[in-house]
Amino acid sequence: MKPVSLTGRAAVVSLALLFSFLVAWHLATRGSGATQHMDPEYAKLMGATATQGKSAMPGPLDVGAKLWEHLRQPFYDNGPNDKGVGIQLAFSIARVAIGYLLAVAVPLSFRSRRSISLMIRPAHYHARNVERH
Amino acid sequence: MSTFDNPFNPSRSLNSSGCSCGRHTSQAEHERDGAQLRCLPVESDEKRYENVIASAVMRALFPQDLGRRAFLQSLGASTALAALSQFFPLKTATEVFASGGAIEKKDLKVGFIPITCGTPIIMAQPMGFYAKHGLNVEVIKTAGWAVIRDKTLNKEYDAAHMLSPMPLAITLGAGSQPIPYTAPAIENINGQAITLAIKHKDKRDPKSWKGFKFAVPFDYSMHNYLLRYYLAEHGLDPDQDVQIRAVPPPEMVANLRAENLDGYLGPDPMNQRAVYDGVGFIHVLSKDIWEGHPCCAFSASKEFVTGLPNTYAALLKAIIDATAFATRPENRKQIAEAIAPPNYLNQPVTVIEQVLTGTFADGLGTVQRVPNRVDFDPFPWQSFAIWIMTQMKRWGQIKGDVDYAKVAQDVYLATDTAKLMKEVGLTPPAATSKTFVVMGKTFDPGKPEDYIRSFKIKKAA
Repeated sequence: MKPVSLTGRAAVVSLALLFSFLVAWHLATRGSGATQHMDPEYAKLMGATATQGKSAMPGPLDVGAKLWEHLRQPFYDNGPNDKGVGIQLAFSIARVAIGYLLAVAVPLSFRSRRSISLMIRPAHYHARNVERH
Repeated sequence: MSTFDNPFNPSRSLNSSGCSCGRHTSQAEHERDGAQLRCLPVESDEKRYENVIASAVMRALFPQDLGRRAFLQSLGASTALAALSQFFPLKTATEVFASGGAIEKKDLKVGFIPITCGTPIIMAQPMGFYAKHGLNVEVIKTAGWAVIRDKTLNKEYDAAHMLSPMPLAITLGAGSQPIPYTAPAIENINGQAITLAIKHKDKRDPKSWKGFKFAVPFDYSMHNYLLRYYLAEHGLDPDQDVQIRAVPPPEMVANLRAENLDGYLGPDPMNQRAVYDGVGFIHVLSKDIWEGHPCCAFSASKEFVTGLPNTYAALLKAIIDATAFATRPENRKQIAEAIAPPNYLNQPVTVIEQVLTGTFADGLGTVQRVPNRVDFDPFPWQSFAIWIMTQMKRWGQIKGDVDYAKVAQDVYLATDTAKLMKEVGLTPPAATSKTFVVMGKTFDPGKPEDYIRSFKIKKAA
């Protein structure tokens, strides 16, 4: 039988680590059942943390569900305070793109052969201009 | 009501006391018709305004009603209307009466903090009150009070939801450049509470709170003044015996959970959310400290008020309309559902419902029923402004002489609001100042300096 390659074994170990991390996370954040005796009318007004000891930090299933919800509808727009992740990313990338274009466009506008040459191939510039003394 | 009679009906007298809807010659006839479900309401506000104007014009032209009726019988209603329109611009007059002038700027940005104090400002968007008055308003959620103040000062927002002392502080130059600001309407009264961490549930006596770390939303807030007043009345010096920090409301519950705070006097729904999450309990509601205290206000710069008067009037009217809707307890559940989504308050609906309806869990195992836990009353009493300024002076936020009455009058625009309150069907009070009682001590707005002097605990001068 051919021995399993190193990369194969590494992949298995990685997956096992991921899996045990998710299990630990889930066990740490799930509810512990009823925490204290509560009048049912009162319990209806209280949240899951108080009634079932569920951690305030969401577990992997909650995070997964929310992530899926966001990915399913990336461009939803409910108003100025609640827009989909696609719209927000688009704005962010646009800002970066504008900054990048400004950084490139401004020096290009100087139109000097030397400066462009320096930007493109510093070694070239040096080779052509510095060695001559 | 003869104002709403049809002035082009020759068979009706404009001056007779007809029925309550204005379409019958007597109340008996109205009731008969009503029983047969034929008494229809006037088609629209516009039609009603048109009739009002036309009625006034016809009455002016024909002081003797018989003359008007003879005129109409000879000409017929439509010819009479045409003849009248030639000499008097009925359509224009109707528009002026209905809107009070063209709106200068339709697209507005109003900032808000996601708390139930701003309910009228926030709910006016999803429930259509802004649209009803001809405005296209975007309500923009803001991170905290200092940010909302700065964004309004640099005109990113046209108007904003602010704490009721903030327009006074900005006008007096405390904490920012002195720029004249106004508070034409108060958003809510009551609606706050002192919430303590659940580990302090046996420490209900304020005297055992020495060394506690409290939070308030902002230095110039009713919360700060109420908390300090409450502590001082129980013998604690708020500057020496406890720590009071300014924490933006959205961060209060997390800080309580992380034990950075022992308690806070904060706006709802932060109190109810702390209870819902099991991290805190409600120690005392602010209405038990001062019943009817103002909390948040709708605020705009003086420049906005004088420079864009029609826009300001429409905006204020929309907010007062929303406030009138919110005062009625039967609407509170609907409002809770409208403002709970992530675009507005971003809280579970049950938390907001508990705040607005007043049936709530108090964190200690009991369900309490306090229907006016939060209430909405737009009238900006000038005596509120004077009380706020006395407390600002008491704690050293403003120094020197203050012309209390003049600043109160300039900032708290009671007359504007009284006029618009009438238009939406609320009854404004006759006076602009009143005395009230805070924790058993009466405040007389005519004697502010004596009031400040009467306190034992205040900032060392």
